[in-house]
Amino acid sequence: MTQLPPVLERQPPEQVDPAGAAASQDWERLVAALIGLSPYRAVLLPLLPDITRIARANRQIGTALAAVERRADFARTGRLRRADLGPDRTALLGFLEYIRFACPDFLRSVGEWPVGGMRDRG
Amino acid sequence: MTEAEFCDVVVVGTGAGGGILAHRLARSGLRTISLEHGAMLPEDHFKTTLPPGVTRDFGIGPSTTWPSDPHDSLFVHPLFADGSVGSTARPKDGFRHFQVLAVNGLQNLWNGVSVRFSAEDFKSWPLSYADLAPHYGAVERLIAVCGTKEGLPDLPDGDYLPPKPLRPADRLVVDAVKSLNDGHSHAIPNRKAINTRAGTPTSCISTGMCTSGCPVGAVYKFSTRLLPQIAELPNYELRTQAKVVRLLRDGSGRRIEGVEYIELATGNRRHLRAGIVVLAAGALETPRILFNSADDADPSGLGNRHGRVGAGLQDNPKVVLSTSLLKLWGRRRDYDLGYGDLLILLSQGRLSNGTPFPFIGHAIHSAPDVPHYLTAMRFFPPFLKERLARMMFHSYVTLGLFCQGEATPGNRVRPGRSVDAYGVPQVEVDFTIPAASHQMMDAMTVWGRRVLRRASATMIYASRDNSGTGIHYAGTTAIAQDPRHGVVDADLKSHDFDNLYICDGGVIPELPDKHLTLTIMALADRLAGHLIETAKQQSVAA
Repeated sequence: MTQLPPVLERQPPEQVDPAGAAASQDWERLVAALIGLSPYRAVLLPLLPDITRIARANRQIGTALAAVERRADFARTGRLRRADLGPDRTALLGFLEYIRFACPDFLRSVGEWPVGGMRDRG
Repeated sequence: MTEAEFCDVVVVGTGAGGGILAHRLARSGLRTISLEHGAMLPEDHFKTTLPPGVTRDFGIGPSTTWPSDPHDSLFVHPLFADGSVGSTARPKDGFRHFQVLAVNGLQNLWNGVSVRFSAEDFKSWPLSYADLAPHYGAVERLIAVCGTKEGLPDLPDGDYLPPKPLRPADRLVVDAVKSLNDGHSHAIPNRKAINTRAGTPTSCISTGMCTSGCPVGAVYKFSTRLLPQIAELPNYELRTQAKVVRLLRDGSGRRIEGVEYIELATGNRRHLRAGIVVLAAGALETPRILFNSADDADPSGLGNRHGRVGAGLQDNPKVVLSTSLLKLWGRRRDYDLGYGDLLILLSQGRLSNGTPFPFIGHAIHSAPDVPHYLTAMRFFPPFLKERLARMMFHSYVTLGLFCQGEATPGNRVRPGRSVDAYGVPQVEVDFTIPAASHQMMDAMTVWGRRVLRRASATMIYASRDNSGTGIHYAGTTAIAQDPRHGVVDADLKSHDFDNLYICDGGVIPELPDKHLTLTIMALADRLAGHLIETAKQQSVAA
């Protein structure tokens, strides 16, 4: 059986500079608050570091998060309400919902994780 | 080969045509150089850097968007060149040109569908199906195509490996097509350039999709199958990151001296002289090179004395219909997922004036790791969405149907006003969907809906397009015996030059419904034989 191992890139800790680490933590707090607004938060919160990294790397979601951060004055208040998502709500909640249904937990529940395993035979 | 500045044959491009040509020419002993704009992707590119599906970062890349059109997912692949380096500037509206600038070209993301054109499809060509049939066979054996012999005149049989077994979803579609009982609709095992033999390093591992790159190289591409056989030959060289700017005329006569290219690693411009130049760069890139080669004697570009370069651009109009089949709800997978689209569909529609036209397509069934189905579930509450998603997970089927293109006077590639990041002028595309194509897409949609409903479809999501997303570009350097009607003759030689050949989708004068890639490869095999024979004769004469 050929199996493709799942790959989730994590940045090695030794490559993280202090300023970058602080910014990373700010992003992580914001994404955690966003996940708190999702009905799938119980499944998504354990994936927070990966979701944060992927969100930052995605042009649409990165831009939307920056807009939400400003709109909510998140750096000062540390709080996020649904109303703060504004016009970015569909994209941001869609992003989280996508991850919920593409994550190993869900795919395992339909017999399709690890990806690649068993696919070349029944 | 050392960095020779002269070779017998320079082949521009390493995709469908360029790969076959390089392989045969190099093995014949001719000093052959392939020039490729892009780089060689790492061997494990589709296994670790950019694996298909959700194995890396849930399948989310920098360009993924929400909400998204499920039928657009193929077109945001990061390998597609952007407007800063491609043949066109890729303006936001209008014709969308997809191009992969890397060794193998578009075949890095090739779905592998390998069908022969029928005898009828050659009616406007200066050669016949019989002329090309041996070359189809040679290519099928060389690259390994799976399929079955069916005896259908509209889709000639070839030499095949056994296909993977049909799955429950395929059987529902086959039964639905059979139930139409109209005499011209068929659903048969797909013909794809996939290694279905078990136990080899490139055996298909059934990822369920081929259009995001194959992690094991089961789908044919030059770099994994043919290049290893010639890479070490002393008479062959592959130069990557070599962007051809223009052709160089030999004096004022009917010969090309060679090509000028930019060595992208250094930015230096270099000249490479060649006895024969073959452009196999694609139906938009080849005209770009010819236009940019304009000189005082040919101010409209080389090979363009009759104004035919760029004219007649076509792509296959297509419709895509996706659904969940009720009969598969609650089903767990106990079958080999295979390579996604295991079925070819063939049928016939009618234009409003009653004229019949053929169309072809495939039925795709896979595991929806990437949850495109969420778009259709957007109005359901989360708890219901989860239950439905699980119940319907193995029930999705998509039909992609293609019909013929049409060469209209207005649809063309022409010299552009923009330049790329290297300062090289790009081309622009004028394209309007022909009226007949709209009618054909209407008819294909009706047929597709009928088939899906008979297969127990629930909601059907349909889309259609003829603005470049077929990625079967043709017609821009058409083959024709009369120089007033085309750019190359029956041997794919330029009407204007004695040592300039073209071998890509551009030479196909009228794009039939069928996928063009195998035909480009068969033409390349035929051209290689012609060039080898010509070289032998010249050698004897000398």
